Amino acid sequence: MFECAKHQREAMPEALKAQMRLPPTDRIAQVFIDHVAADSGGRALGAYDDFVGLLDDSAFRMELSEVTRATAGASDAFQEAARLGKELERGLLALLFETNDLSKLAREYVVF
Amino acid sequence: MTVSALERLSEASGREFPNLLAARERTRLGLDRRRQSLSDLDADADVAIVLMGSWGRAEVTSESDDDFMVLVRGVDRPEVRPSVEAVSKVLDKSPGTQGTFGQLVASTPLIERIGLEEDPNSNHTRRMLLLLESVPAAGEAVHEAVRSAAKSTRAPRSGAFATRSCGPRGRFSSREVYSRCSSAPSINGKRCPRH
Repeated sequence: MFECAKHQREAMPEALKAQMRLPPTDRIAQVFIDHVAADSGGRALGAYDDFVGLLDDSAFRMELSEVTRATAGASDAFQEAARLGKELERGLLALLFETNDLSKLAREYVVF
Repeated sequence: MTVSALERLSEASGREFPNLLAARERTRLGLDRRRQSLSDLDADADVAIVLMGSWGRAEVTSESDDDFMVLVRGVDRPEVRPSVEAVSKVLDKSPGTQGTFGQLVASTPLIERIGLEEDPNSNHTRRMLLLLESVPAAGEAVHEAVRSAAKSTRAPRSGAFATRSCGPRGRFSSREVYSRCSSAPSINGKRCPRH
């Protein structure tokens, strides 16, 4: 969306094609860089990086797969996943709503 | 070698992303191996074998499944090469168990059935994953052609109720024939507020 906003309508399909060839983490990283929000980006993608690392741990995955609403509070795996999720969310919200030009686009296209 | 945006962000922020970069390398190596194995299968010219999910995001971990679909361009047909069974024998790990993957999928429903009863959750999910999280393991040209068509797709046909949010002035809805806002902004004399 933010990449499309840089282009006239005729150029958007090619711009979208190029974007979709990239890993999502590269697309997000580029937006953080473009909008001088590297610190927020480092925290947000750092949290996501930690989460991907946990996905490599079969014990972590097993515990998460067995969590229920009743047991979530006592599950270390769930609590850690939730913490990392919040960290990622904070970084993305900072990007969307605390950068001048992006916050205008976010209000127009993201929030309905 | 081109430096990725993720690596540039790492430099700019001082934060390293070892797991994401390791996952990318694992994805690259795994994809090369799978492409080589799948190239031994006989394949129709209008078929692609598409890996999805963590493969498409370049985030494969040691626990990742081989979520795939055999994508045939056009409408469904009973005999397709390679078959889903043939592909399953080649790939290392079974696809996820929710029924979205490990299937033969025709491109016409993905591209033309948008919204409402003709577009069940499985069709919608496959379309979004194809666009956002997929990579061809075979039949790259078919994969690219179907993705391009899916990106250019239009809103529901006549008779369907369609609701679209169109710019900052809120929702614009109509029961009539509907075209993409960017190409045909007027519906029965009612102009899209963005134009």
